[in-house]
Amino acid sequence: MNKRTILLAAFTVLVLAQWAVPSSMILRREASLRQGKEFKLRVRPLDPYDAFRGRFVRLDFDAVAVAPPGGGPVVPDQKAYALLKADSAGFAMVESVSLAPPDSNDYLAVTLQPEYNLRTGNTGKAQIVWPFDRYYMEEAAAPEAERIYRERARNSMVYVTVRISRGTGVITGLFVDGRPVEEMIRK
Amino acid sequence: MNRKKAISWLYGEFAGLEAAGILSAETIEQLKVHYGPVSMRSKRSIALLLFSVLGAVSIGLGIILLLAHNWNALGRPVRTVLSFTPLMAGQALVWWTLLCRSRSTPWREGSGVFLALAVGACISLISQTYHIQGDMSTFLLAWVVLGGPLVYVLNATAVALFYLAGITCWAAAVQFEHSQALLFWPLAAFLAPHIWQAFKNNPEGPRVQLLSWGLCVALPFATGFVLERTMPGLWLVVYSGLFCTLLLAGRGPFRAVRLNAFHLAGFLGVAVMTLILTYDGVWRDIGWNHYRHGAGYHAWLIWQDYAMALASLAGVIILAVQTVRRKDWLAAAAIGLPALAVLGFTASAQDVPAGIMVGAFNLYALILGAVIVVMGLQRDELITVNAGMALISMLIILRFFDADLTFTIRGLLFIVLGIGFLCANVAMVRRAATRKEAES
Repeated sequence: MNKRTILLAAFTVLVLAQWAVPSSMILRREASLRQGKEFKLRVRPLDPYDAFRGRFVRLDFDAVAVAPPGGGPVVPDQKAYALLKADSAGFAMVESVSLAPPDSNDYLAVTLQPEYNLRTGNTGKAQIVWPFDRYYMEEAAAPEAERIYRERARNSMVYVTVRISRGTGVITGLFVDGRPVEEMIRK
Repeated sequence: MNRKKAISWLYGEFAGLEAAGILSAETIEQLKVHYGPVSMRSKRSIALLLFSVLGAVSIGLGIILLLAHNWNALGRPVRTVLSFTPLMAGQALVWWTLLCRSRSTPWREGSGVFLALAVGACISLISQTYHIQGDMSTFLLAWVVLGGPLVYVLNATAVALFYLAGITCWAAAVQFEHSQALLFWPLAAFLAPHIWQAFKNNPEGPRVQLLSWGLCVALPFATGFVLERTMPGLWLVVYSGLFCTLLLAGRGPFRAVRLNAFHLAGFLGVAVMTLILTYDGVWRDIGWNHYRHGAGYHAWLIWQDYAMALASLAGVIILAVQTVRRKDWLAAAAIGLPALAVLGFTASAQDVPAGIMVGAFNLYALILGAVIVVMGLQRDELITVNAGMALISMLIILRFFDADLTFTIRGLLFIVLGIGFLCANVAMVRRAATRKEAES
């Protein structure tokens, strides 16, 4: 085998890897979008910038504290699975948190952090860190979305919709008072 | 003028010399056999290489920025196709280069850089389409791992430099996210065969030059990002060893390389570290008694920090042998920095008063500056004399800013320093002119 054949073979392997990584990112999320159940999560948006991936709205979620799974104390960055159910308005409620995947489709892989209180220190509970922190928007739209939120922060209900299936969740929209934020910006 | 340029000039003169009857055709032929063919790369091919890399970088970054705009109006299927388009174009270009232009450096470097950037653009757009969680370190890691092998597939040094920048940024991102960057070492080792091959093929060549600049810029940053710092003060041993190793490498194995990055980075690093270590605060609360704990620190990584300290000192020891053999006193004086840093760290860890280390480093900075000035004078190197004087001046300036002196005294001091610089330079220029006259 000459040098060129070896290089071409090595490059073919590299091409396959270069396709496999982005494809797996897509396939996992497409599966959630097609088969997943939709939930709403309340958020507070802010507008930062990523040099490579563009402008997005940073999402801060309401803190959700739960009893530590497995009985023991929670270590920082502990991986866990949150089983979700929707309330009457479709907002996600945590039914239980476990260290192993539950026997259901409606669970999300999350990270747990020990909950701290300024006065008492470690409360012994675990705080859920959702695997979402951004909603990408068009360059000019993200600061506009933040402005809309700031103007209406006191009276508005801001939430994202996510489709969740077997641990993976994909954000499908950002809503202000039930209307997609993109629609509000256009007006 | 380097050897290649000199031979090229000589060959250019042959026609005139033959016409004037100074050299016979036979002698010219004998001279050509003696010196061999001129293998200088033409300016045109260097320009072609430069523009191919710059063109690829511009197009690649342009695509990333275009995709970063986020074309909301386009649906998911279109965006998915768009994510893969630059990737496929890059892959096709590399495939064609391997088949048809494998000997062309501009094609190899340009197509490699373009594909490496296209990988980043592809992952970026998918992250954007599916609003995938931030985590810059995971994004950068995927990018460098998928783009890195192109260094070997195409033997592309420009890609190697991008890879080096990528892993350095990854180390920064990972530390920023309160994780650890131990993986930096295997990622960096991946480049070692490419660097070794370039050095083996042509130790004075442009590849070695570019890679040495890349290494000299990336290494000091990467060292800071990778260090876990659970042991306060160990950084000063690591950095002293690192900069001294760079200086010794620049004055040793890489001394023939033009625009010697090791020499410049090493000298600047040694000078700055020496001046930093003349401060009291650096020597406080360091060593075993002040071990750092807590959520942001990984206790077991103290072994990595120890290994880095040992590796940097080992570099100094290995290169020091050559230095002594060559009687290079400037390099020998620079070895004093890591030696004193180790002694100072050990003493501080045992609660020896910081004033002793501060005094020792002030004295060392003065000696180092004096040695550099003397070396410069002996060798008639104006730049070396000025470098030594700059070090001494900086030491004096820093100390006089610390001390509670009046503006009048500080002003006079600056004037004296300025006059000193001018006199030394005028004396050196005159000496050089006198020598030139005597020679002619």
